[in-house]
Amino acid sequence: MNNVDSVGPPDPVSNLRPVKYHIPKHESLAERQLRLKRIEVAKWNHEFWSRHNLKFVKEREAYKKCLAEKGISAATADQMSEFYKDFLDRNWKTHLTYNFEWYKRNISIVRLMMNKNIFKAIQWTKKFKF
Amino acid sequence: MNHLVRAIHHDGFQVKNVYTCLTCSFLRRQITQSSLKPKPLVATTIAVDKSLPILPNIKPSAVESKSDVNEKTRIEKEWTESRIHLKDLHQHYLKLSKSRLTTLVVVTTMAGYAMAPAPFDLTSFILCSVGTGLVSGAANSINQYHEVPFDAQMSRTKNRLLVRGILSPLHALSFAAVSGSLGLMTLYYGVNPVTAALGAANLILYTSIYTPMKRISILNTWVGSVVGAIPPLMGWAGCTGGVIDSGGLLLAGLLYAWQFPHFNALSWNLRPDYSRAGYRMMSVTNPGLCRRTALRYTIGIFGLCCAAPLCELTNIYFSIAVAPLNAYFVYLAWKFHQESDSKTSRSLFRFSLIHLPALMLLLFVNKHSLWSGNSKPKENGEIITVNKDEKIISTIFKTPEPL
Repeated sequence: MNNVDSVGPPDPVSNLRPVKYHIPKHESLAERQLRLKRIEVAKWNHEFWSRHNLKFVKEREAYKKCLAEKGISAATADQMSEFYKDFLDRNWKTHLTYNFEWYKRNISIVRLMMNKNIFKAIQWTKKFKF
Repeated sequence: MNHLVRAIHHDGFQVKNVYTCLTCSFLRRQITQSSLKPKPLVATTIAVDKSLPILPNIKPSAVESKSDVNEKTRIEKEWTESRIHLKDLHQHYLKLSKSRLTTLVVVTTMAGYAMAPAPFDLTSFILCSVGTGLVSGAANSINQYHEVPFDAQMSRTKNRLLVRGILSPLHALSFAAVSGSLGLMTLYYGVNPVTAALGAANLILYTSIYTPMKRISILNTWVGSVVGAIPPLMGWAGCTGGVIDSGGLLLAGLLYAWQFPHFNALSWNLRPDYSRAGYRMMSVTNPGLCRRTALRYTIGIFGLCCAAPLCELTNIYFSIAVAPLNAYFVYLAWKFHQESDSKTSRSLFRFSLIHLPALMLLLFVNKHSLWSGNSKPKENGEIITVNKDEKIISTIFKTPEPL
C-alpha cells in the first residue's frame, strides 16, 4: 500500500467496493479536493444502495410472508415477478433522481481529476528551468 | 491449468517435479505426490506457491475447479492496489471496449459491407471495420463510466474494470475520447461522411439516450435495438458511398428484429437483479409483452428473410436455405412464449447466438450478384446502359468526333 489507492471486496449489502485513498506526503489542494470529493460520493453511493437493497430484501420477505398467509408456501416465479414489477414501479422516482444526481457527481469527479492532472503537469514542467 | 492436470495424469510416478505452464507461467506450482496409485484419478497433495492455499488430497479432476474457486475468493476478499501494469494495459482496454460485443458489432458491419451491391474494395472495407470497432469501443467504455454503481449491483456485470476500481474514470473517458475520435476520423476520411455520421449518431444514441433510458422507460429495448441495427447500415453506406436502399434497410431490419428474442431471453433470468438495481426492462415491467415481442420478432425475421430476394439482396435460394433456421428460432420463441422459465429462455438465448452468424453466412453465400456475376445477359445489359450513358454524354457535350 505505498502510493496508490487500494480497493476492497464488495460490501455485502450495497455491493459497492470500498476504496482506501492514498494520501500523498505533500498533498496539493487539487489532490485534496479530489480525494474528499471521491470519499463524499462513495459514501453517498454506499448509503443509497445499502438503504435500497435492505428495503428490497425486507419487502421481498414481507411479500413472501403475505403469500404464505394465503396458503402458498413456495412462491412461483410468476408470483415473484409481480413483486419485482411492483417494487420497480414504486421506486421509479427514486432511481430517476439518483441516476441523474450520480451523473452529476461522476462528472464533477472527472473534472477534479483533470484539475489535478493539469496541476501536476504544471508542477512537472517547472522542474525544467528554461 | 488443464495441461497441468493432464501432466499429473500422465506421469503419475514422479514424486517431485516443477511444472511451469506456458499459458499461465505466473502460476508456478510445485507438485508433490504423497500417495501413489496407478489409477487415472490419483489422490494428490498439491503444495502451491506461498500465495495460494494448500489443497490436501484432492482428486486431479477437482484440482482445477477448486483452486480456481480459491483464487477467485482470494481475489474477492483481498484489498487490491489499483496500480496499472503496462503489460496488462491492452487487456484492460479490450475489456473496457467489451471486446466480444465489439467483435459482434464489427462482424455485422462487415456483413453490411459485403452485402452491398457496389464493388468490393479491400482498403475501405478494412478502414470501415476498424473505424466501427474503435467507435464501438469508445461507446462501451463511456457506457461503463456511467454505469459503475449500477453494474456493481448485478452479478453479470459486477466484475467490470471500473467497478473493481482498476482504471480511473478519467482514464476510461480518455480512452473513449482517443478511440472514438480516431474511429470517427477513420470513417470520415477513410470511408465516407455518411458512415461517419451514422457512427457518431449511434455513439450518442447509445451513451446518452439508451444508457439513462434503462432506468426511465420500458422503451429502452427498442432504442437498444436501433443501436444494434445501425452497424450493418454503416457497412452498407461504407461500400456504396453513402447510398442506403431497400437492401440495406432490410439488413438493418434483420438486426433490429434479432435483438428482441436475444435480449428478452437473456433478461428473463435476470429479473430479480433488474428489479433491485432499478432497470426498467421489459421482462420485469411487462413480462407478457416480453414474451410476445420475442415471438413476434422471430416471425418478423422469418418474413424479412422471405422478402430478401425481392429487395435484390439475395437470390431466391436464400429464403429456402434459411427457412429451417428461422423456423427453429420461431419454435424456440414460441416455447418461450408458452412456458417462460429459465430453461426455455436459455435455449432461446443460446440459439440466438448461433442464429446470427449462420444467418450472416447464408446471406453472404446467397448474395444477389455473387454467383450471377458471370452470367452473360446481365453483363450485356450493363454494357448497353454504359454505352447509352456515353452516347448521352457525347450528345450533351458534343465532343468532336475524330476524323
